Amino acid sequence: MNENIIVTISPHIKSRNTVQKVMLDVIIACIPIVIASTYFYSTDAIKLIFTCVIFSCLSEFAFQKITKRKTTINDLSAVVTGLLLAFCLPPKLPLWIAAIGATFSITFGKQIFGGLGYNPFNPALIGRAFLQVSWPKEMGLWVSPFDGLTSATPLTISKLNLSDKMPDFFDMFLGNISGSLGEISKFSILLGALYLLLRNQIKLYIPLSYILSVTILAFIFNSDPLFHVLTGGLLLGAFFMATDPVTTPITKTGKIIFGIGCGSLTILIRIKGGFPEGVCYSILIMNMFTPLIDKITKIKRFGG
Amino acid sequence: KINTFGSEPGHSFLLMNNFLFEVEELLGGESIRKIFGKKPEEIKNKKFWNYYHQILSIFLINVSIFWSVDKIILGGPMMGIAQGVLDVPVIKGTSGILVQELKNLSHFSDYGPCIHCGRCIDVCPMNLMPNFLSYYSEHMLWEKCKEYFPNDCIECGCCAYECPAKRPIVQQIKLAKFNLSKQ
Repeated sequence: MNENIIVTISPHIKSRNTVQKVMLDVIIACIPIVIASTYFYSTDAIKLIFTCVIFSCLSEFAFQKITKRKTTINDLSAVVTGLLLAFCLPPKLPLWIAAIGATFSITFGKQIFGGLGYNPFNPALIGRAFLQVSWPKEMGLWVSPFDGLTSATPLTISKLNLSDKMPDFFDMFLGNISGSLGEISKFSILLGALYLLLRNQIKLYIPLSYILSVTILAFIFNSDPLFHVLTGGLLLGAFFMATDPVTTPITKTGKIIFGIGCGSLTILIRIKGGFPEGVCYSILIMNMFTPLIDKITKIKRFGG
Repeated sequence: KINTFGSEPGHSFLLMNNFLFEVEELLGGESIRKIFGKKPEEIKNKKFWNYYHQILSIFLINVSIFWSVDKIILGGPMMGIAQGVLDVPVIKGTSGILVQELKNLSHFSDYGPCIHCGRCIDVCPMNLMPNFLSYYSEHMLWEKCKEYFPNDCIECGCCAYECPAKRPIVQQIKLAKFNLSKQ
């Protein structure tokens, strides 16, 4: 007879899924995007991604040491934040700006609210919005792939009616256009999203309602729907940012409302607003409504 | 003299007076009817039941020695209660006895914050929202808890099984029930 019987609370079996494995799946889904951005921007992309990941991990570790909290660096959420921040930065951004952005997004986007699970906004998008208002000139420095010459993104060309040549849809799909690291190659984003869907880490409610509302509204505003889907960070935002579980509603109805709100705001900013791209701000604005949406879309209990 | 040959639960064998019995054959209600031609509740002889109790207890103790189990649970894996000592009665709600070895245990020493993944909502058979119940109970906001109907919880443990942050959701809901009943 074993003298040391273990006594724990029920349930006595638990699923093997942990927060760390969820984050690891997101990192694996990011690998196609990393490969695609490295293919199109070579060493610039690698340097930027490594700077963002290293500085977000370091700042999380430092913040938790200073505030004497438990170090949660091994749940890999800081790596995901760093990767996603790097994906929405332009390739020729000076590395010190990227480092400041990564530190800001971890410190003021996540840790100041209490760490993972308590942040009201997507930390990567907070970092990008901060860099956008602080260094607008550097953040608007888009270069075309391979040769590294300055060229406008398709959305800027369409917004400002520039004389640059508009790339065709096939180039937009494969990624041979200028833009930020993660948003150029739609093919790699779809590969990553497919992996996340197969591993059951994201659900299709938000991406589908987001993309469909963008398509329908673009059609209403007499704009090419396919152009709006294939340009900018729409697919990256829909599959990787707007599906972040912490900052999005939890019920199915709430997710669909969130997606429709994001899509409407994106089209509103792109067509009527001052910025050429509106994915970042639309997701951040809808993040603010998440507690409200959660409150009004309570599930009806069984028999209630 | 009684010996057991444990192979797997439900298919263990008893060696009793040099006869080999399958445990199910000897101890189930159906098997009693087959052997004695009476339903179990019709047998009033106390000596008979004392003898059967002995067989069952010796069998259980032999199993725990034979396997040197690390965890003994009264009830099933989801809602059963782990026992610290073996001198406990079997009550009406005990649907079975489960033993686990150390290598099969789910070891999660600590739990993290809720990441709002919504897995608990998907599996809840009563259509509750265990993530909010767990959150408000953790922060002792009982009035907020009430809005999410903790008293409807049947404590099945599905939410705590699925939770990737390994939160003790069932225990937090039980705490909310207790504190709401005090008011």
